[in-house]
Amino acid sequence: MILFKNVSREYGDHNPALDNVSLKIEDGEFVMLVGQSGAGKSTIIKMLTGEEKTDQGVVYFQNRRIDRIKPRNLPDHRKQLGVVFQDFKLLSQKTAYENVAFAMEILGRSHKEIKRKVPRFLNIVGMSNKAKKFPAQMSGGEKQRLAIARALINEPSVLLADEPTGNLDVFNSWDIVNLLLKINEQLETTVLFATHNKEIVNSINKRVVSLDKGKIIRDSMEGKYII
Amino acid sequence: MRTMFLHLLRSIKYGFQNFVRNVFLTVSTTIVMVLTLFGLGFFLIVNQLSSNAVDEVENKIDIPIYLAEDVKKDKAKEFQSYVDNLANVKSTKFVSEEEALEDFKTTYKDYPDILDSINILNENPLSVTIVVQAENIRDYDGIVEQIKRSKYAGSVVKEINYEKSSTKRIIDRLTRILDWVQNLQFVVMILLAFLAIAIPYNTIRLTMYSYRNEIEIMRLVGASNMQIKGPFLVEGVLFGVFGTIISATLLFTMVLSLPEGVGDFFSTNISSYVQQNALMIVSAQLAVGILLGAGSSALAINRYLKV
Repeated sequence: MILFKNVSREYGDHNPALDNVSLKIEDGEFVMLVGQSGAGKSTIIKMLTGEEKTDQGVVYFQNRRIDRIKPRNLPDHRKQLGVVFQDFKLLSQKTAYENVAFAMEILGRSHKEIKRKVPRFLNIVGMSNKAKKFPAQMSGGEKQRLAIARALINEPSVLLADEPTGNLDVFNSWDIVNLLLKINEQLETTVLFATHNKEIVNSINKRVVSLDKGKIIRDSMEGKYII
Repeated sequence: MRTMFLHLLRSIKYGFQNFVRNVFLTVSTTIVMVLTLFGLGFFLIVNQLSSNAVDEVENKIDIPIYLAEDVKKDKAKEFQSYVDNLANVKSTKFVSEEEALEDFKTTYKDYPDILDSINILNENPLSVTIVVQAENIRDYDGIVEQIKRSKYAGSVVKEINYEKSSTKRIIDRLTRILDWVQNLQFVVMILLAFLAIAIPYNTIRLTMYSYRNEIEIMRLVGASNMQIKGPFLVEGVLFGVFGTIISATLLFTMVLSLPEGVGDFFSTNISSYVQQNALMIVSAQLAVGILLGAGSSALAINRYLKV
């Protein structure tokens, strides 16, 4: 469970990134965070990964206060989360297989486990036949699929997707949304999906949390994009 | 234990991979490292050679103390042992009247007038001389002062050929030159130390900048700082090792092909000096190279390890 309790955060001169935000997300939910750029969507995601601190209020993850996690324990916290970005953050000199395997190797996984799991993750995101391709040889949608495969290596309980369709055309955007829905349903992973794509939000009938200037202005199940 | 070993192996693998795959960065960082370590090796050699040259000059300087004509040999020996025991005296030499006369004749063999004037006298006009050599050329003033204040002044010592002699002038001049050389060495050392740290550090910082994506990904999948640093530390060590190999090869090739005249200038056989001290020079370069490479990597990477 994710819980934001009266959380505020300011950048510089009274420029609120979050203003007294309270939000509760249950395990297995699919939640869309919507709002214009600068509304506070990314700040919420960064607070969950421990990259941003709160000025006021507290953030809980599985009943644990994130601000109290010591820096040396942050890596363990992050293993429970998968993160996907608008710009994919893939390594251009590595193939699809190597991009996923690299992250597992860095985490000290055994050679056997890597060999067994990488094809599985690539299969989940539908990239099995592109394992040997380099990012430059992939479409935007494929790159994002690969980034999602990498985000799954720790089999996280929560997947944080920060504008994952921001760089994609309509067709590829739907591809990614369907993949996130599939991960949510089949792997029971909680998905927090930040976007400002009105069409997607209005079509999938999931919970929508609307943000404006750092405030939650609407939170509705099966919501619509209304700002 | 097994995980640690696996991590170490992978750090080495990725370190090598980075080193080999990023040709431009590797070449530029290694060149900077080579220049730094070459400078270090060169400085070590020149420092040793100049200190040899200074020793050589110092060894050639001594001051004669002329004893009074009536001083008996026992008394002269007693005085010699007194001087020998003074602080900062490196050695003394007893020169008898006969030896002094021989030396005199040898020195002025081309000046028959002077030799004739000595020959006119029926007896040896020269007295026993104690030749003193100090540990350091700066010590002569103190030694002369002590002798002047001792009980031997006046009765035993007739004259110390120092204050008004050319020796004093040479010593003063040499002291000034030595001071200047030492100051210069100090400045060069500071400059070299600064360059040695600043240049590779900044080059490696640029290298790390190019890895910021990799580092961010590692951080977000939950890699610990040590797991992230490993490959970059290995890469830093490789910069040091390769820098040492290349710079040592260049340095030794250059020094060993120097014309002999250069060695004569420093009163040393440079090639034999370098051969004897090759291990010391390479070890110093390797130690500095590895420390600089790994240290700069560690420092530079911290910037991207913010939590």
